[in-house]
Amino acid sequence: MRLRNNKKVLQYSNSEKHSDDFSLIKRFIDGEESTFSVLMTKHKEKVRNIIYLTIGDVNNVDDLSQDVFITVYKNLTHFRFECQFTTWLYRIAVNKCKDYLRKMKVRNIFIPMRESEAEAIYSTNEIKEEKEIVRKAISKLPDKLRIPLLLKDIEGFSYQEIAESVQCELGTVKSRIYRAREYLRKLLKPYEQELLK
Amino acid sequence: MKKLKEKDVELISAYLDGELSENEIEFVEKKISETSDWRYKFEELKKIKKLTTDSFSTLPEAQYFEPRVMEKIHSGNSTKLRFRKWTPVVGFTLLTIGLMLFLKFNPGVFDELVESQKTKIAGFYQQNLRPLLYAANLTNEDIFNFAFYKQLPLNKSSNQYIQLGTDSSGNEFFEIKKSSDVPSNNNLDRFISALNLDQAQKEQVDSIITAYADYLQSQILVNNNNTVAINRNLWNYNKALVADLYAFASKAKGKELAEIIPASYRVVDPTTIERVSREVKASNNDEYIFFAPDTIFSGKYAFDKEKLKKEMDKVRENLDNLEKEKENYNYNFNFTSDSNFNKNKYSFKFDTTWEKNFSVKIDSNLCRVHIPKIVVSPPNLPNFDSIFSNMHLERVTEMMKDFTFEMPKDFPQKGGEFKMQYKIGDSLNTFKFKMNPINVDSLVKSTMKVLDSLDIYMPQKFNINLDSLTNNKFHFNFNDSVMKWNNKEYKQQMKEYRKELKKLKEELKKREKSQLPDTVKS
Repeated sequence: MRLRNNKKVLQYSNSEKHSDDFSLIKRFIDGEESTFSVLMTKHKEKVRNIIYLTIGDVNNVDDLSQDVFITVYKNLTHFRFECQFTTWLYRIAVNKCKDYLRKMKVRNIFIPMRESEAEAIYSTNEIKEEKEIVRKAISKLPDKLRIPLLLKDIEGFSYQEIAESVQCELGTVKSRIYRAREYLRKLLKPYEQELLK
Repeated sequence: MKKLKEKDVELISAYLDGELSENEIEFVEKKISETSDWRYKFEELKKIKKLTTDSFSTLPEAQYFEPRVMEKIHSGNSTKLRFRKWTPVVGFTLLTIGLMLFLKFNPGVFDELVESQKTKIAGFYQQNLRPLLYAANLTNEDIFNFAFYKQLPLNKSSNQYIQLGTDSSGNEFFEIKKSSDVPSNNNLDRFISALNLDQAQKEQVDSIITAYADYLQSQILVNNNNTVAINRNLWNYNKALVADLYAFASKAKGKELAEIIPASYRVVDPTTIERVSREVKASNNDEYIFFAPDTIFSGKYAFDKEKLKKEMDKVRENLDNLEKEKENYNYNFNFTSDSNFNKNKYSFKFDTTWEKNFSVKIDSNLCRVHIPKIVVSPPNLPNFDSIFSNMHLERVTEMMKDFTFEMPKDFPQKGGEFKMQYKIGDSLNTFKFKMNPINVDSLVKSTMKVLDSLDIYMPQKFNINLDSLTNNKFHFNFNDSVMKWNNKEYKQQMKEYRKELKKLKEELKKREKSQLPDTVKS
C-alpha cells in the first residue's frame, strides 16, 4: 500500500471532517472517554507517517506517536476549537519530532561513530536502488527544508496546512519547498543518468 | 540556456504543487509553452517531485496502538517517564542533602580519615626506630663533640653527620650533611689535659658524658627506612650537657677554666646552669621531628626507654655475643640530599602547619631543616674553638711583654726602616727590614679584588650559594683577573730567583772545592 492511499482521509470535505472531529472532542470533554479512541483510530496513521517522514527512523515511530496522543489526551480539554483539530494534532507531532531530532543531534555529538558509520553506508556504491538513493538524499536535507517537502509531496498537505504544522509563514513554506527541490536536484546530480533521464 | 531567476523557479515549483492563483497559473503556463528554459526547469522539478513522492512506502499499520496508548495513559506511565527524566537531578540532590546531613552530624569524619592516613604513613616511618647512640655506636668523644660542636655522626662509614645550629636570625635548625666540622679527633683528651684533670676528675667527666648518653638515647632515633627522628628537646640537652661540663670544670678546676675561657663568658651564673640542666632532664617531651627521605613531619612518638634498657641489659649480659649482635644489626643510614628530594614533589604533608614549622634547604652536600624556636633559654657559653684559642693566650701575652718595634716616621706615606725586637728564652733577637711607602687606596682596591675572586662558603647565604661543596671553605678562581695581573711580575721574579740560585750553586761548588783536601783535589 502506498502512502498516497492515505489521501482518502483528505477526501473528506473540510467542514464534514471538522464537524466530525469537533463533535468527538466535545463528547470527550463531556466525559465520554471512548471517543478519544475513535479520534486516535482516525488520525493515528497520518501521525505515524508524519513522524516517520520527519525522523526517518521506523523503530521510534510508534513510541513518538504514542507520546503525541498522550499529549493530546492531556490537553484535549483545553482545545479551543479555533483551528482544525488536525492542524493542532500535526503541530504537536512535528514539535515532538523536532524535540526528538534535537536530542538525537546532541546524542550524536557523544557517539560520533554511528554517524560516520552511516556516512560510510551512504557513500558505498552498493546502493543502486533508485528509491533508496532518493531517500538517502532527502535524509541529507536540513530539517527545515525536508519536513515541508515531505509533508507536501508524500502527505499531500497544502502550503497552508504545512505553515500551520511547522508554525511559519506561507511564503516561507513556498520558498523552503522550492529550495528543498533545488538542493535535492544537486544531491542527485551524480545519479542524473539513472534518475533524471 | 539562460539561468532562471529564483523567483521564477519558485513559481514553477508552486505551480507543480497547485498552489498558484489563476493569473499566476496562466502566466507560468504561457512561459512554459513559449520558453525552453522554463520548460526545461518545469520538467526537471516535475521529475524531482515524482522521485520524492515515489520514494517512500507506507508504514505497516500499527497493531494494538490505541489499547497501548490508553494503557499508558491510565497506568500513569507518563508520570513515571517524567520522573525518570528527573531521576539524575533528584538523585544528585538527595545525595548532596544526605552528604550535608552526614557531615553535619559527623563533622570530623574527613579529619579522622586524613588522620588515619597520616597515622598509617607515620607508622611506616616510625617502624623499628632505635637510638642512634646504639645504632651508630657512638663514643664519649662523639658525645663530647656534640656538646661543643653540636654534631653527631649518623653513619661514620659514609661520613654522614647531623648538625645542630642557629642561623643569623637566631632560629635553630638541624642539617644532615656529608662533611664534619670537628677539626680534631681527640677533643675530649685535649679538654682534660687543658684543665689538667686528675684520674678521679677524668672519671667524673666520663660519668657526666655517660649519663647524658643515656638521656640522649631517646633524643635521636633512626631506622632502616632512612628515617631520622629528632626530639625537639635535643637542643636543650646539648645546652644542658655543655652547662654541666662547664659547671663541673669551674667547680673542679676554676682557675684553669678561667684561663681558657674568654673573660666575657665567665659571668655565667652557676645556678642558672644547674636550673637549665635540671629543667631539661625533667622535661619529658615526646614530640619528634621525623626526617624521612621523602617527607618531613612532626608528631608524637612514645619511645619505650624501659624496654630498650631491658634489651640493652640483655645484650650486656651476653657480652660474648655482642659483636655478633652488632654484625647482625645491619644499620645503614644513607641519606642523599640530591635534586630528587623536592618538598614540592611530594604532595604528602603530614603537618598542616608544615610550612610554618619547617623550612627545608637542600644542596648536594647537606639538607638543612629550620625548626620552631626551642622554649628553654640556654646559658651563654663559648664555642670549643674559642676556648682552645685562648689556652695559648697567656703564653703569648708573656712573650709580648718583651716584644718591641719601631716604625719609621710618616709611614705609610713615606718609607723607612722597621725594627723589631723579641725575646726567646733569655736571648733578645732583633729584626730589621725596609718598607716602601704604601698607597692605601690601591691596597684597599687590590684587597677587594682578591675578596671578589673568593667563593666564600657562607651558610647564612645558603640561598645565594647554591652548593656548600663539602669541605672547601673557599677556592681560588685561577682565571681571575688578579692572577693575570700578577702573572708578568711573577715571571720576572722567578727569572731573577733562578739567576740567584744559579749563582749560589756555583759559589757552593767553589767552596766545596776549596775545602777539599789536596789529595782529593789532585
